[in-house]
Amino acid sequence: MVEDGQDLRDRLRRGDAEAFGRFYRQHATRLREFLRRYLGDAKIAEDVAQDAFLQPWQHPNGFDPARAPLRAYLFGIAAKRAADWWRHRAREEGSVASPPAWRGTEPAALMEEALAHLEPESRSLLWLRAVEGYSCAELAAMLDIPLGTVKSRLFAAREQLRRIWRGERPQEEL
Amino acid sequence: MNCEEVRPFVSALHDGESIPREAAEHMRSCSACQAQLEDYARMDVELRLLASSASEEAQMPRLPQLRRRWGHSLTARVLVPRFALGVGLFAILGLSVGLAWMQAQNGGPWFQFDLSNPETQAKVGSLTQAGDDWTGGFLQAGANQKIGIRVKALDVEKDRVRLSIKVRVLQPAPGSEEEKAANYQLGSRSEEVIDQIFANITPQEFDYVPGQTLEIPVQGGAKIALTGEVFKFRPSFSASWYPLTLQPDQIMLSKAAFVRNNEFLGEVGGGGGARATNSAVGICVPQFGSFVFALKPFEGAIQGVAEFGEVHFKMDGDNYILFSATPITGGQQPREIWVYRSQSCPPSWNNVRKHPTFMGAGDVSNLLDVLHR
Repeated sequence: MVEDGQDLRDRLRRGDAEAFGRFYRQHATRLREFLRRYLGDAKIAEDVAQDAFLQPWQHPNGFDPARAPLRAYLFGIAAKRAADWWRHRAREEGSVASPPAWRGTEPAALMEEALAHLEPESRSLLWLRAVEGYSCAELAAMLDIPLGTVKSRLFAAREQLRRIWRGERPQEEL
Repeated sequence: MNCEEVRPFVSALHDGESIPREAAEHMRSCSACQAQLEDYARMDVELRLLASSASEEAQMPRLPQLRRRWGHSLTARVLVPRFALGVGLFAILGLSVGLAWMQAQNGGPWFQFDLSNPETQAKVGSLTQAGDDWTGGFLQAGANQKIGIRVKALDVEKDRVRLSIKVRVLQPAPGSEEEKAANYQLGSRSEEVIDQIFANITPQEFDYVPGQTLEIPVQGGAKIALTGEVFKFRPSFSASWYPLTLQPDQIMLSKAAFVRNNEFLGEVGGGGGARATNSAVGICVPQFGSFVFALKPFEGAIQGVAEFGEVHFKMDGDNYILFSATPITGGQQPREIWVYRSQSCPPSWNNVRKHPTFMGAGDVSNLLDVLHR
């Protein structure tokens, strides 16, 4: 059973490591996969995931179960940390690394590479909506951005992904 | 409203929100906006499949180093072995998803086409490859009249498609097998009846240039318009003839995909819908049997949840998801849906179908009759 809400927060506040372990096992793989897509690097994704998991453990009062489940809080923290990482990297390198070259021809590879060509924030938003199933309202609360902004960014991200996915990119002639 | 103004509302509709009446009216008649909606649904499915297959590479995430707080310590029971087992299973399932996708891509370029009757605005569409069996559909031509079209792609190349086409006008008697077939309500017997409908029709051959409109003459002076495109990989075919808003007693599947736990069982070939006393659709999934989805309870069915383009249900300990490119039913969402599984497909289907296939739509009693015949 997936455990979340007030009871879980109370257990974390009491330092119940077993409850934290269960919470970690329930969500670690998916969070890490989300971050891997967002950041494009498995090692960094794991570091950010660890950092995000430590937040509710070290500061259990930081999340309000009435506002969002702990899982949403966790993904929200992770998304913000990942955005910080991108900003830090852009400052350090002057520009963000270019996306990978097109290699695949199978549908799964095409989608994976199309996704990699999106802006990181667009990638993150689409993933949280389509794969993790968060509603627009939940995303607004998780990411601390207005609901209207979530919707307009989702629309822009979908259109960008659609254009790339449908072939507005260099590809082999049929 | 025009397409540019409606585009953001397509995204909102995809998120399950209501949209202004003007935008909805535009979408009903705009194939480009409908294709946009269908692409969004398809992209979501692909992203979820990507998430499933990605687990193939997953390794054990390490638990963060927790510092002791308030005198408590992290126990040594970190449950690593169970986790490792989960990752291993994920890898196997992810691999099967990848293999299923690869198998689905063989067979040369795809030809996706729409057939329309300019007089009645009726439209059907299909997807085929060179050498596939006949495909096509029926277009409303008058109050009691239909135009039936059968299309076979003899050769599919980037800039030329050689087509063999059979066309006939029919006026099926109410309640006849012909009428049921033309309304996609016969399930597995449809092919047999449709073959009889076209048995004496001589096919005409056409060289079609993708992107152009081909006018196909029909007896009585009418014309059917064919438009299509060639794709190197299986495309997300236009579902413009599927309604975007359904009535609460209506059920519909278009360009569906079926997933059990994290195993992709395949895309469902064909689609359609029904509005009946207990509206139902059925799919045949080779090796897994038949699944019938109905809007009201019926004997032997278990309860699932329908929400826009998805149905979730649990059966025999397995979690299933059925995705559709367009909404599966209308009314308040999420809502209940009932699912019945038969261990086999109708007898005539078992040996010829290798991929999940749409069995038919109609009242649940008709579908069960097809299954148990």
